[in-house]
Amino acid sequence: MMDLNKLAKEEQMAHTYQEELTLDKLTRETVRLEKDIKHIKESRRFKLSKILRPFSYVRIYFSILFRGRAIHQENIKLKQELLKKQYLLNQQKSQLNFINRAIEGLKKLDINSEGKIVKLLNQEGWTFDFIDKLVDEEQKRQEQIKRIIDQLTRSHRHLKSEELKNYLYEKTALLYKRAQFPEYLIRQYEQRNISVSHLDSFSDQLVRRFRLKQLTKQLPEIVLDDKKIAYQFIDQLAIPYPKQQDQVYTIETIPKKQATVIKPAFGDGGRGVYLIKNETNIFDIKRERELSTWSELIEAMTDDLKSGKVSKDLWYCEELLRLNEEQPARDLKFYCFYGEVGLILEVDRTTKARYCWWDKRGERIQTGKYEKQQFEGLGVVAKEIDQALKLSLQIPAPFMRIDFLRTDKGLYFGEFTPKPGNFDQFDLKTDQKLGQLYLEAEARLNTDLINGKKFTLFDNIIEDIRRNA
Amino acid sequence: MTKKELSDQIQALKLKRENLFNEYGELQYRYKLVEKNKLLAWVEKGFKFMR
Repeated sequence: MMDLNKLAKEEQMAHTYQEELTLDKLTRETVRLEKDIKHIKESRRFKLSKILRPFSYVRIYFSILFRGRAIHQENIKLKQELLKKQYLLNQQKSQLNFINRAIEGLKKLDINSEGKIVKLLNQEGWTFDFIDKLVDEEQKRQEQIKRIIDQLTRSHRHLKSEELKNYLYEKTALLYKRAQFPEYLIRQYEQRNISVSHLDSFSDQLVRRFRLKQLTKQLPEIVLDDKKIAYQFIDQLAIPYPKQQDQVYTIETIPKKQATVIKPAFGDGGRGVYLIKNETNIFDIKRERELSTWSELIEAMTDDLKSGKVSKDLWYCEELLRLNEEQPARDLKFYCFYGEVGLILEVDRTTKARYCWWDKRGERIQTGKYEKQQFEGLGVVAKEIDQALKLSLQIPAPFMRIDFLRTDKGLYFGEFTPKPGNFDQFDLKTDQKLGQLYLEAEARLNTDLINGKKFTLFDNIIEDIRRNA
Repeated sequence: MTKKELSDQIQALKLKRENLFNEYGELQYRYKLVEKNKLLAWVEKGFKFMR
């Protein structure tokens, strides 16, 4: 519906633009014609012709006499039409000349030609086409550059010198920096109350939040990123979560237990997570493969440490929840924006991971992520969305992904994920929509904080941390 | 400017341009006619010579 409104608006604006342009063009043409007419009238030859006009009457007389009046008049009319066409042709030729010169100038990076192109766009009414084409090409170019930079950045991890790696990572950041907006344009947006929500970007916001995290260790969502603290927080709300052993293990001490999940103490994105149905039926979440022996599990965990997927040899076990006899519990990841649910991801990890995206109305949508690994999920009900939404209102942060597990016993809390993996891989439409939700959430949160809203559950956790420190 | 005013102005200008264009055609025809006139060419030459 929104897209239709947008299209109608675009059409209306294009029409208005064309009308204004026609007016401008007509005015210019009229002025030019008046000038050309004046030029002819004032020419000496034309003035002289008035004196000699009687002689031409003789010619006209003979012309009418031999060819007839009708043919004579038609001849004159046709000749006049020809002259008018020649006039238009000359104008088009000079316009073409102007275009060619402007293009040549652009090729030579001549600054004056840029002004000529703008003049041309305005004169010919090409502004809409130009913006559309440029936006499209710029988007494609940016996507291409991003793919190249992504690969380039990832390739740096093979470098041996840590100092060089750090230097290159820092240098690459400049490539990702958004082009700066001129102040003039921002002033126009402000004065005219024009929304620039189409510039909102979820990934930009998360990068900004990451920068804030570098400056302060106390970002609320980061505090809750610790699984143990998250469970303490959830305890206050009486939401069930998988039973966990307090003990932390190393690869050597990890117990061979049935129906457990092994997770790294520090990590995200499913790295180092293993579902142990029994000793011969183990599922490696990140690599999406089945392991049939315990030694294969140990090998995979060792590789996690070596490759840096898991930073420390510290693991813990929790109970393995199931959806039914055959299937493990399904992940339900709610993208929450302080009282608003923007997106829900359902994941089935029975064999290979399969994904299904839902919006807050419970309708299936596409987001540009996991397009080739889709499946028809079970979906979510309004009550479940409401639960996630209310939970997000207890966290003083604009965004938090709240992960639940759908089990045979109902919804279980899984974890908080402040920075979802590959958050930059959403398509532009989704990235914009989530970016807008992020900013709206930040505005609501700021208002609540100014109005003195108390986040009691969260404050209790902070108190606890301080007491134990 | 309202839509109606804009549309009216466009119509008025179109008419004006059409008339001017016709006038231009006429004048240019007469001009070209004179240009081809040999007698006039001689008169012009005479004027130039006198100057």
